[in-house]
Amino acid sequence: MVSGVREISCSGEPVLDSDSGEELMQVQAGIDIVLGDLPRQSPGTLYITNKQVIWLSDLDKTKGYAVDFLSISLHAVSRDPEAYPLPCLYTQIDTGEADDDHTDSESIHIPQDLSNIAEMRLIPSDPTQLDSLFAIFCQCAELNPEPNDGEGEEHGWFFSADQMGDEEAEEEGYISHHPANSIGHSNGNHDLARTILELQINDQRFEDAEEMEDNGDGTNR
Amino acid sequence: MEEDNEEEEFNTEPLFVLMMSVKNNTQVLINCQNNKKLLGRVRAFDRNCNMVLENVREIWTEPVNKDRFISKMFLRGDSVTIVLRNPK
Repeated sequence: MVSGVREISCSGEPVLDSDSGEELMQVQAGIDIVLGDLPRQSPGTLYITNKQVIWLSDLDKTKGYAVDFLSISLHAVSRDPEAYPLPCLYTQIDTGEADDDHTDSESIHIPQDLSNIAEMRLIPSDPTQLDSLFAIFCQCAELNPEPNDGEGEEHGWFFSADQMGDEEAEEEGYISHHPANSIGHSNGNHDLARTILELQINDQRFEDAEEMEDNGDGTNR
Repeated sequence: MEEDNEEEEFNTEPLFVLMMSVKNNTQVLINCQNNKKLLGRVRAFDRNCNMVLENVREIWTEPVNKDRFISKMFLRGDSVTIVLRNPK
């Protein structure tokens, strides 16, 4: 269930759902927010929990926005001034709706519905905070894997269709597990060293690359 | 449609080696992270190199040269380091 951006109201601090194991991971002050094409809102405080990102305005502590990590499909550090004038953490938000190619020309003047906002930028007043902000987003994203990850994995196996019929014959013992001239079978010759040499199993393709040891004087031995 | 893409993916390197072993019932030589070698035929595989192998000769040289035969086994892909096709 994708929820996108939600407007929230609370008394000064966000209320966490501790019953479901939600806990605060980091609080970062001095963060501005830009939702989609809406104007930049500042200043504010970012509350990052293991489930969601909450931004509360410093001007009006009861107003803010929240996005579940499950709704954040991408997050990245943006330092390219052509993409956005200020260094920021850029996120794409899964709104759960297919992108409509047609945009109503009148809709530009209509305030955007928050649930349709597909991008969010978080702009720290101190750009050096970006890397730590990105790191905590990475950590929380790992804690929130897609619930349907692995769906359809049963189709991931490749096997030959004509082998399906072999199963019954094999169970009845018609297929020998010891083909007479199969490579690798000792066939009575238990000199494994020789067998391995014949198979070139000890050839260089299986050797680990030897690490060069530095003597400290710039030479290797 | 998705299965077609997957088949196309398996028809290109590096999974092509496994694909050919499945289709032609040829042997592959697999080096594992524990430095053991597996020589056998691939019955099935997925994109993670998880494999169902048949008629496998497991060979190791430490501390002494030894081997054993395994008629059917599942090999988890994260232990695979090298796959050689048709070792001669």
